Amino acid sequence: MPIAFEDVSFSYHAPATKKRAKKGVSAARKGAPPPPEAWALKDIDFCLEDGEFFGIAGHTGSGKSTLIQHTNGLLHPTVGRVLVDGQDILDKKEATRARSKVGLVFQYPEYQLFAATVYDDVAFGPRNMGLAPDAVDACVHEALAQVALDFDTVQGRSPFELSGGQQRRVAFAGVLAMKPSVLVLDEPVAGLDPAARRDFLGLITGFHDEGLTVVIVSHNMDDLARLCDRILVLKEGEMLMLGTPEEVFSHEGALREVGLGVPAAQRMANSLKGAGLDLEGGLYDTARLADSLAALYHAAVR
Amino acid sequence: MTAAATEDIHIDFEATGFTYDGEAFVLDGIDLVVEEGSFVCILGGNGSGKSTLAKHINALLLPDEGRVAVFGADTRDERSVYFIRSNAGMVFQNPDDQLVASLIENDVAFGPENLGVPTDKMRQRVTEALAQVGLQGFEKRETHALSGGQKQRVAIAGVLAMDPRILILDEASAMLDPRGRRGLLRVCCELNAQGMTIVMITHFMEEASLADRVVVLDAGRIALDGVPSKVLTQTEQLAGLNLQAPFACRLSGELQRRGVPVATHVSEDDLKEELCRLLSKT
Amino acid sequence: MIAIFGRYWPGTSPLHRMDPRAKLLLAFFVMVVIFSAQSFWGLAVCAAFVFGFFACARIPLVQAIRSVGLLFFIVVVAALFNVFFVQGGTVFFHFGPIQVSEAGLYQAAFIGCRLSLLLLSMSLLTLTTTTLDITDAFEYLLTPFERFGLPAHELSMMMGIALRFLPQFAFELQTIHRAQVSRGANFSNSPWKGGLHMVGSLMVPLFTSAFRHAETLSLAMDSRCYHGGVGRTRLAPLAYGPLDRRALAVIVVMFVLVLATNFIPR
Repeated sequence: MPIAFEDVSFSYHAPATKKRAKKGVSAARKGAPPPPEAWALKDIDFCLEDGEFFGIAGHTGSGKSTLIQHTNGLLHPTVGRVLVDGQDILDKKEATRARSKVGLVFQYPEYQLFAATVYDDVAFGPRNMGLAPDAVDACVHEALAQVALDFDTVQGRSPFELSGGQQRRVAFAGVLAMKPSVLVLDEPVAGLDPAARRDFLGLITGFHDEGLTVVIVSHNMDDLARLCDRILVLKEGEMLMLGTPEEVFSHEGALREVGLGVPAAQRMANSLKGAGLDLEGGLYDTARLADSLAALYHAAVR
Repeated sequence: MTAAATEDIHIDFEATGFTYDGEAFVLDGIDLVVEEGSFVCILGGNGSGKSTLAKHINALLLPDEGRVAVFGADTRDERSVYFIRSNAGMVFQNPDDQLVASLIENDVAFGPENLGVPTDKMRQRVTEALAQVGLQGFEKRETHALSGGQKQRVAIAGVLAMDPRILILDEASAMLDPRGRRGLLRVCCELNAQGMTIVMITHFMEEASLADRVVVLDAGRIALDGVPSKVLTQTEQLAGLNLQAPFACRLSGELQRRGVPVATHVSEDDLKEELCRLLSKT
Repeated sequence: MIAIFGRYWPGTSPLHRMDPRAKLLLAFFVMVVIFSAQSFWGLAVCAAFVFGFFACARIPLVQAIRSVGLLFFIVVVAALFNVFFVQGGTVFFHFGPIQVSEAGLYQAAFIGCRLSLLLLSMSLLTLTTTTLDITDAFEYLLTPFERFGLPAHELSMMMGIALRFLPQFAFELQTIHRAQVSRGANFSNSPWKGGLHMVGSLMVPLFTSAFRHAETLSLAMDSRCYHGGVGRTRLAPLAYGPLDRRALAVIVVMFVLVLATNFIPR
C-alpha cells in the first residue's frame, strides 16, 4: 500500500481547512502565503513503496515528526496532497481508513498507555475499529506475540507495573493490533540501553520480514545504514537527500553540515581514503571495512 | 560549613549498599574514590544502579550500608546537606523536568537564591554561568522555546551558578539528538579543563572515551574500573554487560581476527594513524 | 497552535518595567473601573485607555486577542444569555418562547464589550509580566497573612511551577491526543461518546506524565538546595518606583473619567 507525497508543504500558521476536502484536490490558499521561514515542510515529494524499509533522518526541528503525522491524516498539507493507496486522505473517510492501515508509533509510546490492563490497552485500537469481541481477542493475542510478550503472563496486569522496555512493547502491540500494513516509528529506540536497542531493532526487522512496510525515524546513522532500503534526509523541512544508504552516505560533508554525519565505518573508510589508502567506493559496515583493510594488508605483506 | 578533611578526595564511597525495598540491593558494596579534577564516566545497562549511584553523591539518596562522603562530609549528616548539594551539582535526564522557571535567568538564579547569595552578586553569577555553557545573552529568553540541548545547558548553568566543584550528569544526554549531545560534551570537557570534577552517567561509548576514567557497573557492583583504553577495549566483557564497545575497538578486534596486527584503540584517530602507517609502508 | 492565556511577551516598555505588585493591584483596580462603567460612553473611555496601555507596552492588539483566544467563548456565551433573557423595547423577532428584543441586544452588546475589555486588560498583566514575577508579587501581597498560617511562599512557588508546566502539558496533551487518534480513537463528534474509556485515554497518560514530572522536578529542586522561603534571596528584588506612581495616577484619571461618563444621559 504505497503512500505518495505530492509536492507537500505544510505551515502551522496556515493549516489546511477541512472544507476543500470536497473536491479532493487542494486549492491554492486564500490570502497571503506564509513567510518562507514559517514552512515546517516544503516541497516534499516522494513515494513510499510497498514492503520498503524506509528511514527518515534529520536533526530536531527538521520536520521529521511533522512529516510522519501526514502519513495518517493527523496533519493535512497546506499545499499539495498525500495519497494513501491512491486516495487523498484529506477526505475524512479516507483519513479514517488510512489510520487503520498506517500504524503510527510516537516517540516514547509507553507514555500513552492508559488502560487498567495490558489487554484493554492493546484492544483499544481494534475496539475503536468496531471489531467484534472475538476478532479483538485474536488481534490482541497476535499483537502481543509479535512483540514477544507472553499473553497469559501480561494480559491481566496493569501496564504501569511493567518495566520500561515491556511497556514499550505493549505500546507497539497497541498499534500492531490494528493490523496496519505500514508501520511508522518515531525514534523507536530512544532512551534505551544498547542491549534493549538491539532487541527492539530486532523486533522491528521482524515486522518488516513479516511483510509490513516500515518507516523509521532515527538519529542513529549506523542503524539507518544497516536496516533501510532508502533514506530521506530532511533539512529545515526540505528534502536534502533521498536515496539508498550508499547514495546518501556518500555525501559526508553535506550530512555533517546538518549535524548528522555518517555511520562510523563509513566515516573511517572515507578518512582512510582521504589519507591515500586504496579503498573501493560503496557503503562500508564494520565487517566489510575489516575485510577490505585485511585484504590490503595481506597484499602488502606478500 | 564542615571543613573538608581530605581536600583532594572529592567523593568517597565506602562499601556502600542501597535498597529501595529492603530486599534487592541496587547498590551492593560500592567502593569508589573520585579525585579532584577528574572526569569519570559511569557506564552500565538499564538497571545496573548507575543513576542510584549518582543520586548518592549529592545526598538525594542515603546509603543503607557503608557510607558516602563528599569533601569529607558524610551525606547522612543533615547539617552538611546544603554544603554537599551546592558543591556537587546534578543535571538530570529529562530536560523538561528540571527547569523551575519560565525565564532562563530566573531558572539559573534558582540555586543561588536558595543559598541566600546576595542580590548584587547574583546577577554576575547568572551571566557568568550562562557564558560558561555558551548561552551568553539568553537571560531573558523563555526556557520553553529552547531545544533539548539548550535546555540541558541551561540546567548546567543553573548548577554552575551555585559555584560547585563537582558536576554530576545523570544520563543528561540520553534524550538529545547528536548535535545536542556534542554540545553538551563540549561544555563538560571545557569545564573539566578549568578544574571541575565531572561525573558522567551514560550508556554512550563516545562519551566514555573522552573521560579519563571509566567505571562500569553491573547489578549494583563495580565490574570494570580504569582508564578508557583499558576498560573500553574489553569488547566481549562489555557486550556481556549489555554495552557495546566503541567503534574503533570493535574495528580493531575485527582486524586482529583477520590477522592484521593492530593494537586495540579507543580513539578512531589513533586507529586511523596506525592503519595508515601499517598499510602505506609497502 | 494552542492559545494560552496571555503568555509573556518579552519587552522593555514601561509596563514591562513596573513593579509586579503594583501591576497586580492596578490590574485589579482597572477591573473595578471597567465594572463601574454604566454606558457605552464609559466603555469607550475604558477601551481608549486599554488600547493605550497596549500601545504603551508595544504589544500588537492581534497578539493580545490571539492570546485570550478561547476565553472569548465565555464572552460569546455571556452575550447570548443576555440576548435571550433580557427583554424590553421593540421585539425584533421571536421563535416560540424565545424572543429577541432591543433591550436584549443592547445588553448583550454591552456585556460583550465589557467582558472583552476585562479579558484584554487581564491578559495585559500576563503579557507584560513573567510568571515568576506574578507569583512573587502574590507572595509579597500574601505575606501579611502568613501569621495566620497561610503558606504564602509555598503557594506562590506552586503557582509558578504550575504556570511553567502549562505549555508543556498543553503540548503533551496534543501528542497524546494524536497518538490515540492514530489508534482509531474518535474525539471529534463528542468527547463523551466513547464513554470513560475515551476520556481516560487522554487523562490517564496526562496524569501519569504529570506525576513523573513532579517526581524528578522535586529531586531537581532538592539538588539545587531548595528548602522553602526562609533565607532565600532574590535575583531581582521587587521595588516600587516612580513608574508605579505614574501608572496609579493614569488609572485614577481613567476612573474619574469613567465615573463622569455615568452622568451622560442615555
